[in-house]
Amino acid sequence: MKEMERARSGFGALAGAGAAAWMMIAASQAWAVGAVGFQTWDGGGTTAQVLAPGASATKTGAAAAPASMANNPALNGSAWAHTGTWYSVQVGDLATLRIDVTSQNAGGFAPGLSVWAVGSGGAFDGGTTGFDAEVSTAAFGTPHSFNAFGPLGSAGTLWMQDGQGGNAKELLGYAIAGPSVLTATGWGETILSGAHDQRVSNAYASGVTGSVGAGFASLTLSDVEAGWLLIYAGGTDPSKSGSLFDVRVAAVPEPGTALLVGLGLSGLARTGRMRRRRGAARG
Amino acid sequence: MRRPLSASRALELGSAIVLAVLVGLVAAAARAHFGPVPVSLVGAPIPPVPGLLDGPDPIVVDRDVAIALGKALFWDMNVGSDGMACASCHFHAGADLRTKNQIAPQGKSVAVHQPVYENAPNGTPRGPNATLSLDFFPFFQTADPLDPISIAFPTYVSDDVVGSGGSFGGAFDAVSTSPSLDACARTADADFQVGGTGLRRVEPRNAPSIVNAVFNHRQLWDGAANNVFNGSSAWGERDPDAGVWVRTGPGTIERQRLALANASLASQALLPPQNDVEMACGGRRFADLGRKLLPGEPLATQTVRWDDGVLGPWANSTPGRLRSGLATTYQSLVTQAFAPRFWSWPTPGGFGAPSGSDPTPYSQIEANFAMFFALAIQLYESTLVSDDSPFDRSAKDAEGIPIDLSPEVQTGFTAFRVGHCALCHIGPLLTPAAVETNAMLVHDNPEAFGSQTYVISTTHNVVTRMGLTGGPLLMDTGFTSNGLIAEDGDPGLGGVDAFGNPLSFSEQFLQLLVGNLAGVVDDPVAGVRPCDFDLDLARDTATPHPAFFTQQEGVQPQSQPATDCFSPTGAFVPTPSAAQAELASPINTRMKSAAQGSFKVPSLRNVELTGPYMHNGSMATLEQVLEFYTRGGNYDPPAKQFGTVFPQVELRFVPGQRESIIAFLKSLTDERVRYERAPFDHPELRVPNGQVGDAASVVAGNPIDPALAADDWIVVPPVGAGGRPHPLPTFEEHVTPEPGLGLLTAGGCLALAGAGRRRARSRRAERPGRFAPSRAIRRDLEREPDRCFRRLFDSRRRSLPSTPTPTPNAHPPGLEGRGVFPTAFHAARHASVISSPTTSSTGRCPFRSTAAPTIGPTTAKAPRKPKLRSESSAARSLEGMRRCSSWWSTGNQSPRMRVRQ
Repeated sequence: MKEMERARSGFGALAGAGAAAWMMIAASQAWAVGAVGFQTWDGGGTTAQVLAPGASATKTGAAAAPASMANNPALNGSAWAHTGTWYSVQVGDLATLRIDVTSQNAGGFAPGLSVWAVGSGGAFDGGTTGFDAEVSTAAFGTPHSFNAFGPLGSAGTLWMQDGQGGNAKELLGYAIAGPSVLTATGWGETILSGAHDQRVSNAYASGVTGSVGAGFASLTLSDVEAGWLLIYAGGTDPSKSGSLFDVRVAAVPEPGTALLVGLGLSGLARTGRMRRRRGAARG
Repeated sequence: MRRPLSASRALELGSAIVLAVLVGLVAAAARAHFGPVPVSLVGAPIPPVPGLLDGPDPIVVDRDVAIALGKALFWDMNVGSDGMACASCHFHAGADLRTKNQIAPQGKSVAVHQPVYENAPNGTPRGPNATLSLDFFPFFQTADPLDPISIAFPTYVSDDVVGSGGSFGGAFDAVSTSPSLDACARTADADFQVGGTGLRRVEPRNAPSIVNAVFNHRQLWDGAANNVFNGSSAWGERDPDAGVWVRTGPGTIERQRLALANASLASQALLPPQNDVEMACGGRRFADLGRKLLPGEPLATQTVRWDDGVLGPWANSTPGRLRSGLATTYQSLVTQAFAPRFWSWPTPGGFGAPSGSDPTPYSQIEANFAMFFALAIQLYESTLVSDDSPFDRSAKDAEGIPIDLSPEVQTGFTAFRVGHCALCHIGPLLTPAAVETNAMLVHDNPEAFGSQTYVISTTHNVVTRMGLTGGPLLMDTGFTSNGLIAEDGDPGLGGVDAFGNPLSFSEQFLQLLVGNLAGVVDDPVAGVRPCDFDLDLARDTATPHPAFFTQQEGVQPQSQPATDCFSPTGAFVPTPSAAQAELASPINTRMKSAAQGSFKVPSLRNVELTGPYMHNGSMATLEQVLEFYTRGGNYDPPAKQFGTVFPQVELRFVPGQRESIIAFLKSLTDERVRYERAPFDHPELRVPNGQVGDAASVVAGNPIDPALAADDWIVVPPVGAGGRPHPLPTFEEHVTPEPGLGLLTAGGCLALAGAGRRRARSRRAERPGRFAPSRAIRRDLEREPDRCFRRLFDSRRRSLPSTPTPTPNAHPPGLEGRGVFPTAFHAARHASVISSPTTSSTGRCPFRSTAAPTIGPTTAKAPRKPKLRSESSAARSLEGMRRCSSWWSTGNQSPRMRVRQ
């Protein structure tokens, strides 16, 4: 078990530095978690904390291959873990959490993202390379190729699923700005353009909505359960030339909170105006 | 259930699992996203050659003498039929730096032979004998070299190859036992000629470096040089007629098969000296070469420094007195180095005889000369290990990360891994072609290429399997396609040997699977273990899968034990009938190889000095290489490893990433290579750098044959063990005009003009007969400073004395008057003492001393009759030329004028 412990401790220290993890293993033994590593958020750290309404985290200038998430013909359209980017976020109980992936050049990159709930036990452990010797129809094992669009437990997800090769609990949803994959995919998953709620329960969020546009993909989660989330963001259109992109995770203030804040501000403004009027009358 | 592994289990797996991905990577933990860790070469084992130096009856009985023999043979211009040495294409950091007549039109394209030289990107005609310049490169251009989309709309494409100028070729007749050209019937080559005047032919692949080549499992870009040396050809056990003559008793001798493993350098050594493009006239045998060389003095016409790290003890030179040759003969060296059973048979006859005009039958030592030649060169090249680069010297942390390199190099080291470069460029040589060395390192230490949290292992499998652009394909370990050329370009590993057998192990493995044992011509193929593949070939499962065979098609257990497999699920192969059916199927997806268009992954050590790059020499700078990989290659052939060569957004958009990787690559340069310190020192070498003239016109009247163009020689001065005072230039530096150099040089020319005249007058008055600038040069100095500039600027354009008088022993019988090239050799032998090029500078000879036709483009329409001169004149000219060349090539430049070489 020491090997595992070393792997885990090393993961935390090193996870953020690599944008493009790469392992090419197809049919290998499970050996240790840590198959993918996290990006470093702006300001440092590989796990951002977005615990309360109004809080946010940003990653500026991430890089991923143009077809790292969808529509790579060599992978039969499936996602490519090591040329996309991974993010870890710890969230509190939130009414609304919005995740935006925005290309720095709208015409140069068609982003996409998937979000998984990891639960309250800690951040995603990185998954296990080649878990259960899964191989896609494109002849690639996990997570070099993996299923970023189907519920955990389906083909191409075991490497990251809790109780299997990882500790991810549930896919919440995905959004891709690129076109749908119309041919048979590497894991048999369905990959459709636009934003899609993929939850199988309300345990981690009560709803998922989103939108996509030129150089833009977004998901909004409702009633988010406190815990850790895992985000994968990459490119979804190989016809794009490429661009850096930004990722932002923001807890949207609740309507009630926003109303109170608004009332308070207007009250302060009114008080200020009255003081100025009195001063002018005296003068 | 997750299956966490215990430490012991992890180590067990680590020592067993295969290197996949060309190499085989395996398990990953924390640093997986970084890729493998490049490691130091210090202490890396050289693959053993059982029976060569060890065992009860070794072939080589004196290793040191064998190395000296190998070094002499490697650098000796007399090995070629017309002045080419092995070193002629490997004199610069183990590679070639020449710039003229280096283009092979169409390379080895499988398309219809149409040897058309494309114009340069700027429209400059680029025919035979053209001089390379930086704006010729790269050979594939787009509007934005970093944009992956732009490869669909290239603005310039050329299938020309920057190779190496070699031999005039010809039909071999006979050799002379003196240093000379061989008697051959020579004519102008159809592809390499200007106005009907023949040029030296150009090898259609770029010369790879011989430094560290001993670690390669097979040699050459296509792996043609077999890992197993058979004693008489490059083809290993493929050659049914191979063998060596062994004296088995006082009165008995027989021809025996030889199979030396890990001796691909020896296999390779036998190819160029029999190749009529590279070094020789067609039809010359090694026994003929033995007859030519054995009686004579090694390096008879080339100076060897007294302090040469290997040859010094044999050199005729003494401190301060540089002379040509060694005080021995090749025959003496052979008989000292090799066991007597290979050379002691007392009488000729019974070993064949030449087919040309020489009727004397071969002797045993001549008949076995191929083996002596090849093994001696293998032993010499085995000493050329560059394990003292800044990267090697750097301290490493617990995970193998260098910690005391510059910040930029450290950044580049990480970017190199993140950018997937380290996936193919793996291990201490930064190549998976070092199959045995990588396997041995990982066997001894499962974490050799990683750290405590990153383990990688390998076996000796020479075949693996993985998903490529063309689907799941079998691959030869160490070979791949990076998308440099289209599918119909050079076949590379997809080629065949002299007998029509595929070069590729993977192609042979397909034959093994279908039960065609006759199709397996290399023993390691039969030992390939399917359960060590990166991607399973077959599984014992019921559900069909497009990537591997299952019970649906028919599978059976692999023939080898399934212990410690990389993939236990893959310990199966298809039944022969299933394999045959798949192979014959029009929708075959499981029985394919990636051989076509794959090439050996080169080492990156000293890559700073070994440009131009790629198998076709199509890139001049490391920046162009990084641009190529940033855009994800040029093409998408089936063999392309798209998982490692794909659009690299980070390298494109994050400032400094590509530059930092280049900085890391430069940290792989061993200063001993850069300064040619032992073991990288060498004798003098004169190399033909194209022909006199240019791409539009050449000067006919080569001393070899008037119908051939005169050679434009450069001289590589001898270097002793202490090395040269100035570093070797990179290819980019070599072809890049230096701003300001023109003014500086012109000024220098004018200044030297006066001084030269005064010195010449003085010297003639004081020491008549000694070297002085020729009349033509003096005229240049006085009247044509721009011409002087060109002479100075192009240090590559120096000619040997053009037509010295033939000497009586310069030609084999019957060939008098055919050519007088060898007389330059004789001139060299009589050259007087000259100062050490590495320790002093005459500072007075920036000009060529020969009166040979020089820079001006002289027409080839009317071949000039060679102008004969006395040998003493030639010697004087050669002496002067040597001063000049030493002055240039060693960087010992006048303090008044520094000219970058």
